[in-house]
Amino acid sequence: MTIPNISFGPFDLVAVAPYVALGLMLATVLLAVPVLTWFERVTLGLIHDRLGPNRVGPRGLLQPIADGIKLFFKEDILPSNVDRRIFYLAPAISMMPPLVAAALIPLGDFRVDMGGGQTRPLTLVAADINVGILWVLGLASLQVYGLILGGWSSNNKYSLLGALRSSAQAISYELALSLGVLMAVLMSHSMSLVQIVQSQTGGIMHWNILGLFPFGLVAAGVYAIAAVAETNRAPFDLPEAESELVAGYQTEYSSMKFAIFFMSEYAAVVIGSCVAVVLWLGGWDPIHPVLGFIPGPLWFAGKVLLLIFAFVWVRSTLPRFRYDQLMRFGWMRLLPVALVALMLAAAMSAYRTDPSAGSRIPPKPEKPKPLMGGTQSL
Amino acid sequence: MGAPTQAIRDLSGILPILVLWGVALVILLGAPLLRRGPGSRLAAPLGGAGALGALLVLLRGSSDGFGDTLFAGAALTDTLYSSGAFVLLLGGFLSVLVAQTYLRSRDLEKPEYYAIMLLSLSGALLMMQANDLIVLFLGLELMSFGLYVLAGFARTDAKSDEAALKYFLLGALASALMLYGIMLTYGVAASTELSNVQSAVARGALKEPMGIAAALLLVIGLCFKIAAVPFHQWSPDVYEGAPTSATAFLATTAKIGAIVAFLRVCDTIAGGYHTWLPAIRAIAILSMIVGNLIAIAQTNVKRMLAYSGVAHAGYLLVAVACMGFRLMGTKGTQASILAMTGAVFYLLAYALALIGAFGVLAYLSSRDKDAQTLNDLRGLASSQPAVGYAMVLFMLSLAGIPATAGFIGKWQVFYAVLTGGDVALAVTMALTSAMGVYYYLRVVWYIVFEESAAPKPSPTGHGVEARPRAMTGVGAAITICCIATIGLGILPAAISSFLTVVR
Amino acid sequence: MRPGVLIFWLLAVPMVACALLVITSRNPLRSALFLVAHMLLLAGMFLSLSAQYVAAVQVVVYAGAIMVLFVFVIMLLNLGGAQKMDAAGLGWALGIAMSLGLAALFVGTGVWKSGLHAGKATAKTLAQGGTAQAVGFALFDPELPWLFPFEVASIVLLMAAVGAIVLAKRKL
Repeated sequence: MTIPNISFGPFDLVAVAPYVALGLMLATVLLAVPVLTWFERVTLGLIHDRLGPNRVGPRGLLQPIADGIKLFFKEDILPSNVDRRIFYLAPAISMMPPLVAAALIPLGDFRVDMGGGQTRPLTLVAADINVGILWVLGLASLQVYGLILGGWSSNNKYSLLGALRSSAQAISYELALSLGVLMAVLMSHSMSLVQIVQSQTGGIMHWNILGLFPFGLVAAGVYAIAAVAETNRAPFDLPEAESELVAGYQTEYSSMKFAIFFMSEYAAVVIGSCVAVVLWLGGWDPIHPVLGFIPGPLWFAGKVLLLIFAFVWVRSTLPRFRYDQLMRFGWMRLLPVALVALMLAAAMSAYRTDPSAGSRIPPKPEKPKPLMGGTQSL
Repeated sequence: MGAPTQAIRDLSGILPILVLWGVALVILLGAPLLRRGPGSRLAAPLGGAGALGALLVLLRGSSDGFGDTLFAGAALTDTLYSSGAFVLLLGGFLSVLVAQTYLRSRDLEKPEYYAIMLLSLSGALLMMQANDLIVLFLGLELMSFGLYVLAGFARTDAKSDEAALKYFLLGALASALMLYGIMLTYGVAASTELSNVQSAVARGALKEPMGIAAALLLVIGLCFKIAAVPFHQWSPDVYEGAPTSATAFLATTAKIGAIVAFLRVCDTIAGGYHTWLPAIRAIAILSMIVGNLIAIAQTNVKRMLAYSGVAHAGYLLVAVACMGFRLMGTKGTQASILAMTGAVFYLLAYALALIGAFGVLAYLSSRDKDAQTLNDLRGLASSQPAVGYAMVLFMLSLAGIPATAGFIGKWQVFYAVLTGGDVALAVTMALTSAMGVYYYLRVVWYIVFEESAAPKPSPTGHGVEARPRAMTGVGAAITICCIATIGLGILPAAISSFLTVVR
Repeated sequence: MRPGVLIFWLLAVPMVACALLVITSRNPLRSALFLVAHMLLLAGMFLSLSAQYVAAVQVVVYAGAIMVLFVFVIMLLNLGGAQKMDAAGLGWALGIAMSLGLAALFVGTGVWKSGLHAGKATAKTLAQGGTAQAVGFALFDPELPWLFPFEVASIVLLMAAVGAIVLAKRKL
């Protein structure tokens, strides 16, 4: 889609695009909580054949605001004998990874009319780094620190148990998550989120979820399951299983600190969905090129919303796992399936690559020379 | 570029390692079948076949590719490797034989033991073939991981657990120090490949503070592995706590692998001998004196052999020190080559005698009795003369009495260091060897001249059953060790075609 | 001050502070957390050296996986209570002396002798050297000596896994 290059004083559209992307993503992640709590409760009500929120405002739309005001004015309780610094730090740490990851999510691709018949490509992304997906994985693995530290510093046995569960769960499912992601990298030949999306251009048949059929589907499934587990959502919400652990790691938290934990969970859901869309569903790519007149960011948002709905749907229909089932499933089902699928997909990819047609693998760089020393006498 | 043939050439250069890996993987994958039932009798033969197969592949390997580097300079094949590998794989095979009987009688046998043994052997082979310090380090780790596990293989025995933990913690420290040394080496040489390190040393890298630190850290890391003073504290407890068959294996494997790697590393950095030679000489002298002195006070044979191992590490370090003479004129070069050959022969003699001695201890052990102390050997010559006199022979060989292989090995190293002109080391070696004779002969005294403590039955528990057991693995191992120890003591030239290091 | 140098100091000073806090904290969990912080800063340092891939791996593997395990074990054993550490003593003196010696060694050889900007790297070589592709080619190119150690490392890991199971599994 070609758009005119608008100038804002000394800046033009190309220059501000990263900041626009960052602002959009930050707003989405930070505002996710009010919107998503309402969305989740309404959907749950729908699925459970209940009424859902309907008191505050039309269709309960103002319910999140009421909740927010309530949380804000609650007393901030500091239990005795907690490790204060870590207790305060934990919610902040849990909020940090999704916010950082927001900078990596590409939202759309445009061509900017530079005037004089010249156009140049412009990607709506804050930071396109060539190991982007690895950064996302790294940030996902840092997310668990917030939970662990919150649970540990609370000086409460339920909190500690919740923290232990969350760290074990995070480590177990991270492997499957990474393997799922690796398959997307295998199909797109890149670790940059922008290039991964660009490699899927051309409609649903080019998306990674249908790539290397059926392994794209398997990988997307593995990723989806692991992502639900990584975000500690039902049916993998054992760290906060209310029937066993009161509220798990957040038992002792109240007021805004609790709210921040709450926010970080929803932020992680949003980021997880965004990454899934980038990896498997073609990012901003329309479902068919015919529908290209709808702007990319809208496609992106629509797909993300669909996935968030899936998160809620799963939560409303599946019972919580038992802890040993969770571990058994992660290590003895999901991981082997992911490993075998990765090997088969790699073989299939190698078989399909036509050497004469040239591959999409970037050319080999110049032979690495020692950057220091060597001939230089010391 | 003929890539496939290059790959085949590279792979055939490490064929013994590939054989070990293959058999180890077969054992690991077949472990459910080999664990119990009729299959359990197959585990040890498979392990033995792995070691023996690698040995045969090594002996049949063509020598035309020798001196070449493999895998773009990561590994190499030369005569130091092939002779060291011969000793190592022979020792590995004998250790499998010892393990088969010992583990069975102690109810410890699991197929994983043999797989870990083979992987550990492959690690030691990698150390010998390494042409790059990174490969050297990986080989060291592969070897050490296996040895840690084997030391703790008797999982219900607190002493075995202690041995594994001590060995692991100190071994990890040593590995870390060595890695630090490798890192600093990269700092001064901008490469970890030995040829590049050598040219960096020739340019005077070891005059740099960083180069000095690198060389010393490498030396310390390797000294840990061979248990040289003052890095020997782990060895008595590990030798004592580990199952006897594992002790035999780890004592020989670690020493062979680390000494050959040590020879190669010191040969590489010979140009900067003024940095490391004093350190090696000091460590060698200390090891010879301290090891022999403390061994005198031991009543537990395994601990005694541990301290004697410290002393032997000292003797072997004398050979390593000779590497430093390589650039000191013709005599020095001659000394360094003699020392390489001598060290490998020494390792062979040491491995034969040590595995034999631990084999005798393993032979005397049963389900409820683990033979370890001098008292367990009391009167062995009268109750079980064959085993008793075999033990006497091994002790004489360890002491370096003429007409045994141990003497020839010691003489070769002695001769090399004299050729190099280092009289101080030679004299220390001779004096401490004389000192060592005392405690070896005390074992002989207990075997031959002391009355058996228990009237009958003999330490195995059943005098009658002892004879059929002699036919099993450990008996074969003791027999081979005996024959080889005497044979090499009388006719050392018989094996020189395998063991001569050519440069 | 050039921006690169500024970033270096912004990363280096907290990094050293974190490293010191790792060994001086009395609470093992705090030590572990400072180690995490140290590793994240180290990742930043790699990034400032254009080693993007190594930086990302540093976060994924060390800060994200290994340190979570550390923290997990610390919590599992409940080492929360302030552990009595024998401050002062020969060990500390020796440790301080050794680290000062190493610091002198690095500063002496690295900075004093070669200077901080002695590298011959250009922007181009730097940009090429640190990508995932460059690391992949360096590891898997049969004409470079790294393919063999890379493959050997898998056997080392196999050995470690088998060994851990043999030692730890309750019923073998």
